[in-house]
Amino acid sequence: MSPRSTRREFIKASLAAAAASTVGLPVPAGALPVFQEEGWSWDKGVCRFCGVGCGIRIATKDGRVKAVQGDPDNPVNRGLLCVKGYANAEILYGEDRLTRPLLRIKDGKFDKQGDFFPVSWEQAFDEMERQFRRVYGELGPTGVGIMGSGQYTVQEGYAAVKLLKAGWRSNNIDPNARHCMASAVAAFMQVFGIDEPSGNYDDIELTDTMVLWGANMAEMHPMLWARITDKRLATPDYRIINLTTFGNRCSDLADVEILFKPNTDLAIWNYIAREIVKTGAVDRDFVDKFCVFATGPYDIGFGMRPTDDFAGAAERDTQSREREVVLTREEAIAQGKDPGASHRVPQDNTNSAGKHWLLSYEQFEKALEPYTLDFVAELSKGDSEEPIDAYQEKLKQLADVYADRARKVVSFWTMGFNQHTRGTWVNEQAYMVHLLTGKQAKPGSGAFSLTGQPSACGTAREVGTFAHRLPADMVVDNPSHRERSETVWKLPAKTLNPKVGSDVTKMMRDLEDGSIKWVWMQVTNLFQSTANANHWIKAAREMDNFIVVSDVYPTLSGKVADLILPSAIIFEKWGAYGNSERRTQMWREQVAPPGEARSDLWQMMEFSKRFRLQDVWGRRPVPGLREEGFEGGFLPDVLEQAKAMGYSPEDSLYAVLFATPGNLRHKWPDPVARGRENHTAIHAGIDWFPEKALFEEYASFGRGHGHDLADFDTYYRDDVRGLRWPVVDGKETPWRFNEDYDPYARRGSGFDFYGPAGKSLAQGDLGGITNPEPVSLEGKAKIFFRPYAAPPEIPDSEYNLWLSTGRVLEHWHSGSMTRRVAELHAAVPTALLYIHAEDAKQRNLAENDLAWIESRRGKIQARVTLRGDRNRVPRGLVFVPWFDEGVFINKVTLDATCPISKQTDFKKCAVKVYKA
Amino acid sequence: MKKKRLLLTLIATGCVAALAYSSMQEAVHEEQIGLSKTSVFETPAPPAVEESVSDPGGNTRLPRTNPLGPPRVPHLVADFLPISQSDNLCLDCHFIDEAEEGGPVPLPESHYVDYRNAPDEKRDAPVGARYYCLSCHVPQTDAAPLVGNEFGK
Repeated sequence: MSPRSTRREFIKASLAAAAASTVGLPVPAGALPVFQEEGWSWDKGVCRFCGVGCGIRIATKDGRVKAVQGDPDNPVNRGLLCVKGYANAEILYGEDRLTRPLLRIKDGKFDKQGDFFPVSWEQAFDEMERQFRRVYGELGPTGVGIMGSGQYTVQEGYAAVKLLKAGWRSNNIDPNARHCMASAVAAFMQVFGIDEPSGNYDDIELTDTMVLWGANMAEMHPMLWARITDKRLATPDYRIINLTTFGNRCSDLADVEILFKPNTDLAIWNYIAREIVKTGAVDRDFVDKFCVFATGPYDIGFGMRPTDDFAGAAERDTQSREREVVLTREEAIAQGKDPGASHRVPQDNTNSAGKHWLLSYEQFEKALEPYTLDFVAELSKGDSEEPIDAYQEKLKQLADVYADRARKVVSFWTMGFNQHTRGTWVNEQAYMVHLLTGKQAKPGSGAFSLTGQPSACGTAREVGTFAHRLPADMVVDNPSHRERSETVWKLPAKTLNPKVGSDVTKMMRDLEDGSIKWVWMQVTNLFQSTANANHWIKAAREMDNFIVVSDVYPTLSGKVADLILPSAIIFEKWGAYGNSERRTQMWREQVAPPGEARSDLWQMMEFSKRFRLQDVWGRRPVPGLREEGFEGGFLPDVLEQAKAMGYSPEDSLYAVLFATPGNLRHKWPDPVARGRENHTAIHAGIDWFPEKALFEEYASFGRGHGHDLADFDTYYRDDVRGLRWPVVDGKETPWRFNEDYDPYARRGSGFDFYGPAGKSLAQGDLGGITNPEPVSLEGKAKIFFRPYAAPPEIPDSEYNLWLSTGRVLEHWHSGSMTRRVAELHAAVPTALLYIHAEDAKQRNLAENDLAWIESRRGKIQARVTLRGDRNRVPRGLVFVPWFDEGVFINKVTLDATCPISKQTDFKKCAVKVYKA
Repeated sequence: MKKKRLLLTLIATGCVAALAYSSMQEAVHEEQIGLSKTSVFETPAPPAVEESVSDPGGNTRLPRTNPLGPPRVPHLVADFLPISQSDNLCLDCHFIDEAEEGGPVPLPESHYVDYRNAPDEKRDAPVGARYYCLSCHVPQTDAAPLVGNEFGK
């Protein structure tokens, strides 16, 4: 036995033994190297990057960040961080930090064709206000918008929602999280009637089976992958199955890799469900007590524009599928139709895609019938070089782990499911299988939607920074929700706009067709991250509009903006984030923002001072508004009622929305600060604590309604590392809907799926509604039948490869922070084209060669990699990450979305690749 | 009246002048900012980069910026991948007790402690949570920084 293999054996033995016995020398508790350098001050914080939400310890001295390490006391990561986490210190210090507002000026005044010049905040806001008034006067509330972020702090997101909805009465606020989690949210709402996972990260250690679906956790949720790896190496019976469209680092450590064709996840779930039904593995008790069956229309289009007016010539064929689809052979088989005939299906339900109705169990069973192993294996096998028998075996194994009563299962997924033209459907299918087998809302058992961004949960979803949302899962088009919000916000009745606004993709289309002419982009880089980008950068630069980008560094979005506002970065402001497991965590300001950079909260409060109630609360046009109690096409004048409430039409939005009597009661300084500063307060010259005040005001929406947050100060206690909501009587809720753990689950229920939304449904069958009389579904969850559907654009003879896009470990999102950290940049300096060696050879491409990647929409260049050190794509598929401003892959991608969630499918379109 | 108009004119000119005050020297063209010094409408050719090709052994340790961060890998890594359940070639060299001159860097003590389950003990082998080295330790290419970074300065 060689020394190497001896050592290898020893490691394996040790890891296996670790669980059973304690071995070795005792070391001092908290044995991470704790540098206690002279004068360093330590505090707890949260990582700036992904949705894992690792806890960090941050050291400062003389107004500078000195070091960052993982926090051993944080249950999420227990002292570990990934390579990006350690860079939380360096991301503050890129040399080109924005420190002054930059406005395009020509001939002494604002001009879209001008170069950027530094201006004062006063001048910046002057122009911003001037443009706002121009557009608001011309188009009303629907002509302006805020493009927000799942990286906003809770307080920033809340301020943005309040300013836009309560102040300007617009609903055009939508975050980059629309591109990330919208499908997951839509499925939560449709299945459970309430958002966010029932489980928590402890499920990793408590389960025995981990199934990954379109989630490259080794690179995208690394510290959760560390927990999974730890468990796998110590537990012989633990199983990891990785379902993916290309081999990745998760495949390296998994027990089984299932490589499937894009979009066929829909078919694989139905195969699993069919097996469960056929083998009698349905947990009848659980299903009968807690579930109902449902389905919806199939002819829902792909979220593209309804007409091809703005489509380039090459785009028209894909775009036409928004109106009519010819079923593929497989779709016909799946729907029980003759695969030999041609089936033209007009897409009649593009505007009612979310509609659904109850289904009988018999109908559900019938719908699953076509999804046999043979059919699904042939349809879904993604690696042309894999023998079909081997692939079938894997699918059987997969169905077995779900069906096996002795196994618990956790299914994790992220963008593979969410960034999908049937993203809501495929999320629902995960719940379908877990609910059928009763493996949901139990320790170690549950379908768990992983979140990508650090606060898509805590801010975007919980606060409601969406075109259809109000805080605490409420929606703008529900009168009682609006009433409740108007009460909390002390607004006159009918201040809030009942008409759902534009989601982020629609906002880009609105810029293109002139429906929106004023946009404020905050904490995000949406011109780099939105699909079919050639359209939007052209609209930004050429149309008559005014685009403001608030960011910490100059980004691609900044380059197409009219005004760039320098912003404070994390730790230069107080804040809170909420991670994937519902854990809300907070941090104190650690250092001052540089130069004239200001917190986003300061920016919004300051800008709001320029608007009086009389500017915004008079009668306002909202084209297409048709709502009970509202004049068609208009929001009413609420100034009279405002006066009756004690307001004056001269009152500023700042006074009405932010510096309210209630908020002013939270004084600054506050003992919770422990001597740390607050530059929002300093720059605003105020003696109250806006981050605390706004948090408490926001939290009042959710307390008592299943979204309970603890009070602000609790999160800053030394013995607290965030808390998983609902937090009731000081206690977190690890598993929701489960009577043993969730105070909101009715006593004696066992399980209570108490989410209120959509719990009254008509009845029907696979053909549609048969009985419109609504049935109450109180306390129940829905098991959806959803069919296999083909994507709108499939490789053909010209564009003969699938393109998938995504991230890499070392870079976060558009790279604006991580590419300014030397080690991260040097690790992955450019976005590469991951292509199979045979496909490369056919195109005369060698390692490091330049290649064009071209679709119907645009083309870009990238360097080829065949190294296989991370992604190993099959024949017929290529992958390009999107972190690189210079490799602008979103010029190539397709802006087709899930029609229910409006989330873009970044994982599939058709391209050709050729040597540059 | 004339005085007022003059005053207003002066103020108006002053405002215009104030914007124009930002002299030509301060002008920033969009192609000069960001990480790609090109127009967004261009499709530039990314530079070729060379991965570190040096073999393990005899390499200089790379300096750390964050003093508590993970060291970078000075040698090539691709040939030693994948890290799987059964194979971890990183550990084959680095799981040693003591450093030798020019030899592999031993794992630090922290890698032997399971902070989740037994934070007060040092195990005899690195813990499973630390098994996937690449999550923290990244190899380097020869790419120079795009912009400078003032951390630590």
